[in-house]
Amino acid sequence: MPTLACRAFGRAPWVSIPDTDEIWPSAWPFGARPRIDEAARDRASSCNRLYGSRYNPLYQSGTIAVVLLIVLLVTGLWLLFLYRIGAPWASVAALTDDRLAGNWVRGVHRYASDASILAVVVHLGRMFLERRTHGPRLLAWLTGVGLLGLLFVCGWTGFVLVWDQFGELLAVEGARIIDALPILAKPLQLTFLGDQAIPSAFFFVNLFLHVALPLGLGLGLWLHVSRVARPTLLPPRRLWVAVVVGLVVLAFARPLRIAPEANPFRLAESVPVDWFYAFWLPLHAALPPWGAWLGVTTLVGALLAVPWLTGEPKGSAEPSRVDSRLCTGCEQCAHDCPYEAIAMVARTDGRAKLVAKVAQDRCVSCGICAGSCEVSAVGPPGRNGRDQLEWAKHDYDRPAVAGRVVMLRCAHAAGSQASSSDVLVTTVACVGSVHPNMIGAAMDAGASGVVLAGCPSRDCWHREGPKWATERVAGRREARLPAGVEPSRVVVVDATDAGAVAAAVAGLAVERTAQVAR
Amino acid sequence: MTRALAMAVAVVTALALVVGSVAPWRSHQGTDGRIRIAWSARPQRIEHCRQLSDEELAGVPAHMRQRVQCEGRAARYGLFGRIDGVERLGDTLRGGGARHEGMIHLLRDLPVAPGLRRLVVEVRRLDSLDPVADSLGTLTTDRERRMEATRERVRREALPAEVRLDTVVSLGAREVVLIGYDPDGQRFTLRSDPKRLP
Ligand code: HEM
Ligand code: SF4
Ligand code: SF4
Repeated sequence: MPTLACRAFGRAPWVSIPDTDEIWPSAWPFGARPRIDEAARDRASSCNRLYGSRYNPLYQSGTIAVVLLIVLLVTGLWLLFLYRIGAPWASVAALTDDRLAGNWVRGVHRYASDASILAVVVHLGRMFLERRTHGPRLLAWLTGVGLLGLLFVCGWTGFVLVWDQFGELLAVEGARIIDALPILAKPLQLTFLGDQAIPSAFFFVNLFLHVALPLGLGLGLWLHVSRVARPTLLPPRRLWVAVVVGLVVLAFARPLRIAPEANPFRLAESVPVDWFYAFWLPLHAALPPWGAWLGVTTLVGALLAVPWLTGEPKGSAEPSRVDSRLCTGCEQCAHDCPYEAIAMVARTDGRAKLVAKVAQDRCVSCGICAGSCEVSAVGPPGRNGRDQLEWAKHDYDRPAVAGRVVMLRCAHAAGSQASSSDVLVTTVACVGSVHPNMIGAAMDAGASGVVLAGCPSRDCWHREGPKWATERVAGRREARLPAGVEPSRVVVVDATDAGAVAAAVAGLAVERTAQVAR
Repeated sequence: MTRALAMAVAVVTALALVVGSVAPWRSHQGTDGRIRIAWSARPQRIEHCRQLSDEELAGVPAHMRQRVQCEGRAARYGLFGRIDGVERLGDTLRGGGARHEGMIHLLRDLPVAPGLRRLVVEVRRLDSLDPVADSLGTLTTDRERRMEATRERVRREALPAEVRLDTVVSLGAREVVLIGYDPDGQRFTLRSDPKRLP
């Protein structure tokens, strides 16, 4: 595999994204500001090498969580038919003994609930490490914290349903936590003493919660993605099939058993614990009851504060502007904006069509609209299509560019920096923000080809940059390449895939050599 | 090679899922059992009741007129417990709520080594009661009689001046013996695992 070197052409002046260091808050309270986002992206790109960016489970952790929730819903409905409030343990024991229609369904339900915690924690970790926490993602982050809490409580009630030793342990510890607050006149713990039968109302309320909380999860998920334009809710088919099949295989390979029935008169020597949901048990057993509240409020408070701790300094990105004299009302920018920050409104100058209007509070200055607009009427100040063209005409001078490959490389994309005397690298805010006229200017200056090196398309910092860039180059989307630019000489690649970058550069260089020879 | 590694990572994740899903936790180390003292009871009220005169009653708004007016608070109790002659409990019990007028709810767990154990649990009222009923004259209206009957019932159901349990129990390894309270019989009760082998 050829290694690439580059003659860095520098960063175009219209790339107004802050450096990685600057993205951390100016008031970062913990000493030197970390650069963990880069490390996280490198890790994710190693995962790309294993699974390919399309199936990368790190990128797909949110969508995998959705698949798992659907599996939980389907298997949960089946289990609901077999569960009896009047005989909780006995009914679960009976379905556990039923190898054909009970045990494996229970197994899939259980493993899916564990996997969902795993997937959501990975999803949260990825969002945190990649700083996808603030701005237009603020609502997704905050509701995500709520979803994690709901998922957790939902699992808790599920284990209590079984009313085996583990269920009893969770019920008693839960009661201990609730009793630490002075809200109930009679401590809940006194319900589980064994002097009287546990009221069936308890099992009813528990079952009700276990069924109702997923409805809350559904509603929460809708809110979660409500500010994400064109959210992807399901992973590619091969991946979700693999997840479902994997769960069924696990359920058969390791059939679930049932622990002995709850008995308040016996201290179990050892309890079979699900650590995904009860990782806190040993700690809680050693703490006073209010310790749990302290822990939960600290954790939730810290998670909710993340957007404000990791957000960009206010005013670091200027929102896009529309030149209404040029705007033809084609609506392309409104379709392409990944943050739904552009609306089409009635004109006030008497012309027939609508005009684009940018919602200042939603715009994150990604510049993608600049790449959409055929007539260069929209874009962040100093970075619209005309500004890009002007810069390119000035800086891509013929002697420097002729015969070389121009690489427009996303500032957010991880991966090794290409370096070769054959390549001129210009850093851009997002490959989706590059106006085709700029590509045209590079080709006019004699470049042998242009490589747009962006994030993996599932991991684009601005969500849809590489997708739109690919469609524009292929002529399937406005704005199109200028006449005379051969589409085969413009390649969009995943910057984290060093092999693909090298191959793209080599391909364009070879083509150039062949042309020269001809 | 990449494929094999990808498979290996997936298999390890699946294994982690299975292992983390059911793994034993030694929640109670050792063989100690528990003497669990857990019950709820209403504390006695220490109150002073008197009858209002006709003139006093006339000064009260019509909907608040009550001939018998009582003022008071809930009594405090001392809780004492000895196991095999060793002092294991000594505490003051008060009613729940901000004014301590609600039920007393008690939940104490005493770890105890298995074997035959002599238990002495005692609750003693710490405050003395004022004489009440005698000071009241004849109650004339139905409502007054009903209210006095309610007060009387609450007095009867409340935790008496002293409740004591002195017994020997055989405690198995990791077994729980529950000491509860029976408000009708006004005595402590003992309970253990109904499925326990004789
Ligand atoms: C039940 C739990 C959860 C599910 C099912 C879930 C699912 C999803 C899905 C399907 C998306 C859209 C993905 C896309 O189109 O790019 C998404 C986005 C997002 N999620 Fe979650 N999520 C969950 C929990 C969380 C948690 C706990 C957090 C963090 C606290 C979080 C933070 C985010 C953020 C910030 C985005 C926006 C991503 C972007 O714009 O790049 N989510 N989630
Ligand atoms: S893409 Fe350009 S011309 Fe079309 S609506 Fe947006 S600003 Fe107007
Ligand atoms: S720069 Fe353009 S595409 Fe990006 S958020 Fe603002 S309006 Fe939307």
